[in-house]
Amino acid sequence: MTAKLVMENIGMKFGEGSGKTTVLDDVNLSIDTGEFVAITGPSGSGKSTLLSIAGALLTPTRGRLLLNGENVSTLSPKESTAMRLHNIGFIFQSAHLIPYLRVEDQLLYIGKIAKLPKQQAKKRAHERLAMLGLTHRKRHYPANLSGGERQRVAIARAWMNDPELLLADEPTASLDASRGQEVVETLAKQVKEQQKAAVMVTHDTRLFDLCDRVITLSDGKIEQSMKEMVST
Amino acid sequence: MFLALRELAYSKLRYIMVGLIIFLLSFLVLFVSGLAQGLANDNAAAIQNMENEAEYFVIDEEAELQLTRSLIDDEDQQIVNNHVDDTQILGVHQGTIQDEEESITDITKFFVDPDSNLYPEVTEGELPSEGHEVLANESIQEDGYAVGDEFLEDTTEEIFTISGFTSNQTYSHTPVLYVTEEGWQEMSGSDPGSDDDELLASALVLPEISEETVNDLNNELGDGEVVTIQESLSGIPGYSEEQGSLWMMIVFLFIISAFVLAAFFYVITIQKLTQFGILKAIGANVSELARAILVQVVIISVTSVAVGIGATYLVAALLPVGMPFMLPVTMVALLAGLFIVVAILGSLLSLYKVKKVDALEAIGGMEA
Ligand SMILES: Nc1ncnc2c1ncn2[C@@H]1O[C@H](COP(=O)(O)OP(=O)(O)OP(=O)(O)O)[C@@H](O)[C@H]1O
Ligand SMILES: [Mg+2]
Repeated sequence: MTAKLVMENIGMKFGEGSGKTTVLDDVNLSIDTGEFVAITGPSGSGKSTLLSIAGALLTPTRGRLLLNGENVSTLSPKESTAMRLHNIGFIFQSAHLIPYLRVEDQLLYIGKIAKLPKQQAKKRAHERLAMLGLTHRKRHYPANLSGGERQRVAIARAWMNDPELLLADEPTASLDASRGQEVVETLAKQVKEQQKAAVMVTHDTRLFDLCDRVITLSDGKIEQSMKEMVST
Repeated sequence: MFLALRELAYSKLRYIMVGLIIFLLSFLVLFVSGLAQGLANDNAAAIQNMENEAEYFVIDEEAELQLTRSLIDDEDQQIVNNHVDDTQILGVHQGTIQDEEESITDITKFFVDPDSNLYPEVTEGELPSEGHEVLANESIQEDGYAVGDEFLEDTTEEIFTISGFTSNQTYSHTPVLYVTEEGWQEMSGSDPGSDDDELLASALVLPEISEETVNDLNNELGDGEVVTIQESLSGIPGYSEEQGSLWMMIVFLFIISAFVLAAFFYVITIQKLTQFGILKAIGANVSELARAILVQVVIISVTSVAVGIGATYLVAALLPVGMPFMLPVTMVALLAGLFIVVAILGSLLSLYKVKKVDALEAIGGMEA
């Protein structure tokens, strides 16, 4: 199987001189096609930082990053923006929706900047919204949604472009347990069916069952990487 | 367009306020320009009209561009005629007239050859056919004069008659009376019909001539000098002062507009930096975001300036008749275009800020 995401000897330091803190220290990681991986670990252990590096939002101080076999470290800012648009779906720790776009438009805008044909974009936005149970909210502005609904819109948005790699930072933090379970199940199913890959940061141990692998991060190092047996 | 329009619709109040500011500034600029043009016209129309037919004046060097003080002697006239074929004598004299009730009106007497293309068109009545007839600018009607009316001329103390009216012929805010050759001779103190019937020339009007000829003339002329008609306008009493202060106001309004708009757009952009960061993170590139901002600026400024133009013409229509106001379409187009350019320049600082925003930083670390 080919790897969607490869991280080699990734190191990340913030600050200068004596105030320098090492957030990530020599992380090696490989996510294969069709794999759904959970990252867990204590607060401040560098999970969000790792995810930002994986999503080409942050340049690591050290190491090599391959997305879909392409070396991201050598891309210009413009190229990495295009790479994000077409290959990566982001779900941030909080929803980060655009306040002046209705739910439906949040998704259609992604279709537009990715130059999807209008009909196809509409159809896909519809599917994604239905998948997350948001059809009845599609004309709403983010300000008029509940926290959970906002998070689901963010998930639908990340899923809009059929990204090869989905990066989710605690996507279920503001969802109730059953809704969270449902959403992650949908994500897992999509990853399997469409042969994509996903990395999800979570503290919710109940969700580990749905993942192929759970990586525990501690003080910027991968503490353990356990394989779960998933019954399909 | 996608982002730009949706945001305008969502944050209506905010953008209506920006639009209102642009509207007020553009209205002020257009209105003051209209006044400047109107005053210029009221002050100098008779001379400005000559620019359509001719290019240069030969004026007395010591007159400091004031036609009323200038006199070109025979010698200089001869020199000019040796170099240029098609010259015209222009006589200018300011004075007053009195009607039967002895009420006094300031006027300016002009003499030009009635057969030359400098002579204005008759809009009412007829061309003067006798010595003591004049063609008057129609603004003299405001002082109660009509075709056929008589008045007392101050230098000759003789009675003259208005044979007809012409339009848009003013000098130094007074109506111009075009006098006959005979009338002009009497007014300049020579005796018409006698041997000494040389015409007194305040200036000579020359057509377009080469740079070389201009230089030759300036070298050879005794007291006279060649100036463009445009340059001579500043010699009309009050012209430079009026135009200078009004145009300074207009320039300052433009500078103020540029700063106000830049500040407005900048504040709005700063407030939205997080959004721009998110948009970048999900894959929108800088040129797309820049386009969204520019589309908004253009929509707001074009709409507001259009309303400003409408309001200016509306107010102009409500102005009292005597108020000099003139706003040619070309002027409006120029100012409106300039205003929109200023608005776009004002948004450049914002564009720079958007270019600089870091997708990750805007998301607030990873928290918030
Ligand atoms: N821009 C930055 N400058 C300096 N330090 C930073 C920066 N971003 C993150 N850090 C530090 O890196 C460490 C890891 O942060 P990170 O957000 O990756 O943790 P996390 O594992 O996601 O925690 P949580 O579970 O609370 O979200 C923290 O100690 C944080 O203070
Ligand atoms: Mg985090």
